[in-house]
Amino acid sequence: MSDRTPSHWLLTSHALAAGAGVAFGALIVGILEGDHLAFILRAIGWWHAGGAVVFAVLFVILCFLALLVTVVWIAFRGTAEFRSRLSKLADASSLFAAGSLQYRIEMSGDDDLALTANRLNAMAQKLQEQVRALQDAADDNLALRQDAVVAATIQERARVQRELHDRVSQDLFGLAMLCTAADAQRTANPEAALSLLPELRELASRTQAAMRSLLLELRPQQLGDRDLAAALRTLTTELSARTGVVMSYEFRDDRLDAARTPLAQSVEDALFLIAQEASINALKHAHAHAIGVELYIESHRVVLRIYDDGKGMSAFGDGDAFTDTAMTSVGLQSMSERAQLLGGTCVISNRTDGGVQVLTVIPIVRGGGRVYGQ
Amino acid sequence: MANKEVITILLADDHQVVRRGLRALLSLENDIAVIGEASDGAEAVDLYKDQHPDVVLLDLQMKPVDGLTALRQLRALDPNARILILTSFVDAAHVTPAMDSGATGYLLKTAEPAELLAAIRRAVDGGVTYDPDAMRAMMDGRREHAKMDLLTQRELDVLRMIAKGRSNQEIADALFIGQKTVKTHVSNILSKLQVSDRTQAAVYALKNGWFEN
Repeated sequence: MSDRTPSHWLLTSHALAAGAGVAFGALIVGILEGDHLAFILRAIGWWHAGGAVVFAVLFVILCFLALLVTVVWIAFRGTAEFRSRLSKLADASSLFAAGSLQYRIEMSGDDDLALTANRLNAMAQKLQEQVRALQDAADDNLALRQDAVVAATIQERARVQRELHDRVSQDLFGLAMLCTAADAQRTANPEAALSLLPELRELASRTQAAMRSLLLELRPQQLGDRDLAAALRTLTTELSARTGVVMSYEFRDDRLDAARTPLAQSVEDALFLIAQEASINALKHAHAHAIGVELYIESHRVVLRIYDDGKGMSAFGDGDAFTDTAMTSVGLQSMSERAQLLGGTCVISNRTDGGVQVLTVIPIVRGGGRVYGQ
Repeated sequence: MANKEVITILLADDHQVVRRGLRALLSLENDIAVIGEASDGAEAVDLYKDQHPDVVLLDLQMKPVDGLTALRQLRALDPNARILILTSFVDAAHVTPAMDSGATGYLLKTAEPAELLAAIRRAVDGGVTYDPDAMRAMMDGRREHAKMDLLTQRELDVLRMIAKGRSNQEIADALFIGQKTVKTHVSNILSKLQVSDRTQAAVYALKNGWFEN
């Protein structure tokens, strides 16, 4: 420090620093030695002997450390808050994607994050309104849809007739001819007659499988006046009885009693048809031993899940009796379309432990015309 | 028959099970031998050229080449070919063209084995065997077909396009006539066929196999 042009500020600060330095030195020495008179003198001596430089260096280091800690602390606090706010947005968008359109993000502040949260809320609101409009429209189109059902039934009947002609009646003719051949050789050549038996049995069971498949095609079940939960129970019981495949059914309504409003008719219809299509697909193509149907009604969405323990999706269409790949994929597509028409989703996937799962989620935006859960 | 040599048979059916059953049945007859199997019309014609069987048992619905096409080709190839149609179809649209194309017989896949064997032996002797139900369907078809003569050529053209699902405007454009003229033709067609709308007219024509060729 130069004394050539000592300014007022420099003098003052020097004096202050010297005072603090002496006090600091006195403190250190006093603590170390316990002799109060001696330590003041020695502190002054220490200061002059170069303690000022040591003190200045220590002081700067301390200030720097304090600054560093403060900066790190502020930065950490800021990041943690930012992250928690961001994860709120992420959670909300997963909820929206999962069909919980009634959810709203609560976020204070007026920065970009808060703005984004408000926009996401507005988007969910809008989606909710659109889903409601979609489902209204679907109900309005009830008559149209019934016409389409009639047309589809006629078409289906024609197809079943054709299949009967093309496949079953041919198999039965071959079967009859083989039986005649076996019968005719009964006495003259019993061994030849017996050798036809395995073939006859195989042919008979193939024809039986084909018939069963056709019976499934005839779509006996209609939702009719029953509620969805009851209709699904009948569907699974009946399909199980007809095919011998174990079918389980689980229904749960997670809503509070007071909130158990009926589902919209269009939602029930779509879910029933999806359940039917998925079950029949599993029965026809998957070689499943067990099929499960689950219907869960939550406060703001309905979840329908159909799963089997069969051979999985890639196997669809391989060497199955009555397999029509185009028909199958049309079936899969129509399930997905039915869900989309109501603002929901229908995802078909292979399960990790084998088999196929059809998961449908439809948002509930309002009730329908049926007292539910009776 | 005993003094005749063995009757050679060609089986043409796209269902393996049907061929298997027929072969098992026919193999029991000492005077009958199956010498070939075809799974479609083209294969049947090829095998026929090769082996000249005495009788062909021919299914109608086969892919890619159907039985009717094969029947016509076989008759053109050999006017004396003895071809028994063996099918599950018993409607005029199937029966009539088969009969017209010179089938030696028309048997249904509901036939008893004995009837089938009898028809084969009869065919070799120059006889024909027509299933009674198929005959009735054909006669009914002929009666309906007579109505075709009531229609003018123009009305037939219009009906053919109606059967293809064309609208009046499309028909008018295709035939270079006015839409009003098309409407007149349509109403004439409806009254001549005694049906109430164009869809029924189309169904009627198709059901009776009017535009098969």
